[in-house]
Amino acid sequence: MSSDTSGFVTTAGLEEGKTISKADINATRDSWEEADNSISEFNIREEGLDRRSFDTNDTWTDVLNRQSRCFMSGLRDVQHPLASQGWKPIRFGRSGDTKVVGGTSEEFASISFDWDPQLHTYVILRTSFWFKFDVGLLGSAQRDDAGDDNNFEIKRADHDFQFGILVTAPGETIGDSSKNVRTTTQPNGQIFCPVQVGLNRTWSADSTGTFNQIRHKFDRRSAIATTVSMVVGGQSWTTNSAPNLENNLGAIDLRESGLVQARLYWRARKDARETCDISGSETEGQEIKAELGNMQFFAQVFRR
Amino acid sequence: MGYNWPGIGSSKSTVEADDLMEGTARAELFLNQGIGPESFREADPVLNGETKGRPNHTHEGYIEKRHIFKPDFYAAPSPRMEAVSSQVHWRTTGHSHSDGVIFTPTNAGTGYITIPGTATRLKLRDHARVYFTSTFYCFEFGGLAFPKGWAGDDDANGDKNKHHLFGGEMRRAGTIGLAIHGKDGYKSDSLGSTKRYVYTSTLYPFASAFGGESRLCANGFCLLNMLGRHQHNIIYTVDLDPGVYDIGLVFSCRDAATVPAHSYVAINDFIEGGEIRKNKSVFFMARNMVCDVTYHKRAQADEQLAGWRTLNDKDPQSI
Repeated sequence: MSSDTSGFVTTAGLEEGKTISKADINATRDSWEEADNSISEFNIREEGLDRRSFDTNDTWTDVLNRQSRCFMSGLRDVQHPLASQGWKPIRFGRSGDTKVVGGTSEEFASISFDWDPQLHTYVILRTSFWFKFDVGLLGSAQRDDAGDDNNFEIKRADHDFQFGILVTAPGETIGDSSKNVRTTTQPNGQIFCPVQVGLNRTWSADSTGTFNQIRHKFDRRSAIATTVSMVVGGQSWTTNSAPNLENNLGAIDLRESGLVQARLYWRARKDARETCDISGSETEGQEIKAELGNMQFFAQVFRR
Repeated sequence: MGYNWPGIGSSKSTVEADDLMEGTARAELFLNQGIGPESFREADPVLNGETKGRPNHTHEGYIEKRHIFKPDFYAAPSPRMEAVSSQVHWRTTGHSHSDGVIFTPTNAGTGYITIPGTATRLKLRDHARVYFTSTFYCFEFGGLAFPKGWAGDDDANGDKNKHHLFGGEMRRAGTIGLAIHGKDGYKSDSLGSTKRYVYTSTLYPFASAFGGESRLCANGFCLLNMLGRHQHNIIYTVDLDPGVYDIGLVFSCRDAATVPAHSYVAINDFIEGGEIRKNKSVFFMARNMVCDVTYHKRAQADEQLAGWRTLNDKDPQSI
């Protein structure tokens, strides 16, 4: 780096008891003119940027509004989608019941925020919530079912669930978005960071000991009970880690400005909604629903 | 605008006071209002040897490292970074058993208690947005839960909810949540949107696999499994006013209910059967926490800081 101090002004010829000359004054004037095109870091006092430099809130404020974050405090029983329905938005809230607070909907975990590539560099969307589904309750509950392989196989097998975050391109609406997972074969899919939960057959379908039989026949029927957490990021410029935003499976392309919308989605593997059958009991035919809630979903923006 | 004064013309043979004042006025105008983009010389190109760590930079800026107010870094016991407009607090704990922490209803009670390594104290000079993220590995060990088949053959005629309460991952051993306690009144022992649940892992065998008279604890067998061991993730974001806050994960053990051990030993009439707890020790390991704080509005000192400075006159650390 140079040490060019041509931006400095020098006053010429002013000495006590001597005549002020026109030439000295014009030399001083020339010095000012030269400085006009040469101001550099050497003209700036080195006090640095401390807290006093942030004179107004304008320098700091870039917090997104309440629509950029939502939460749900309680738990709610929710009917899971069928395989044939594909990806469906997760209906966390319901009128007259537990509702989603913040965001853009009381029913869905849904957020939006204005994106300006001139101001914003990165955004991280995070979500974390609770999910529970009592797979072990499906099919006949009697332990005599230990010898009824078909009952277990049909009712309890393959209860797998997948979750994802749908993110629209700036200015696009959720209705117009592609409800597919972004993959190399689905480059326009707008569901990112899918995660999947399910039970090993030892804990679901064949859970009473007919499969991988344990000597003393433990009843291993269980519920799925887990945290679901997902994170996806977007950015307004290409970087070494995301060199091609146009066909990217990780970072979302946010080089354009506009409103960005995001919503939590899920899909299930089963073709039908199974029931809890206890022959002769009041629970015959009872449908087992997933339990969802304790949810946080928000965007965190990093500005330039 | 720039600097714009032609100087004293060649036709003048004497310097007049107006000339000096004109020159001074032009210099004043330039300094006070006239410096624009054209006034700055072109920035110096970055030399090859100076591009390390900034490969896309071609020219130097006028603000260098020496102009930036350096953040303060603090190490244990409260590792954090405090900068001009933000703070970052972090904790990380290993996965080994020696790094783990254990809660039981006996030694922890059933109230909410901080999980070590997941909490910090925020001292906010200004209004801030707080982003809290944490992850940890936890499981219950030592309790015993009934399997679905515990209700036996006659379940069809019994309580319809019998089987809703039994089985793997059904017997809750405790609840985790995020707590925020602030001197200015913002308090929550466990925020609802952050709650997570831990279940008893170990299961009985079938209800009467060995007959009702086997008289042994869990019929002499129990199923120790890994199913109840989970990695959990809790995130949270909130706007906080200036003040001091304690933020972090807390855990509440479930009360210590028991199940009969079927181990009656009839030495005399005074000895009852043994009992086993339905939930016992809960382990937390591999704990990580990051708390981002970004200031977004200046505090009005008189109105917003005075309150928490003097709220607790018994606090020897009151500011």
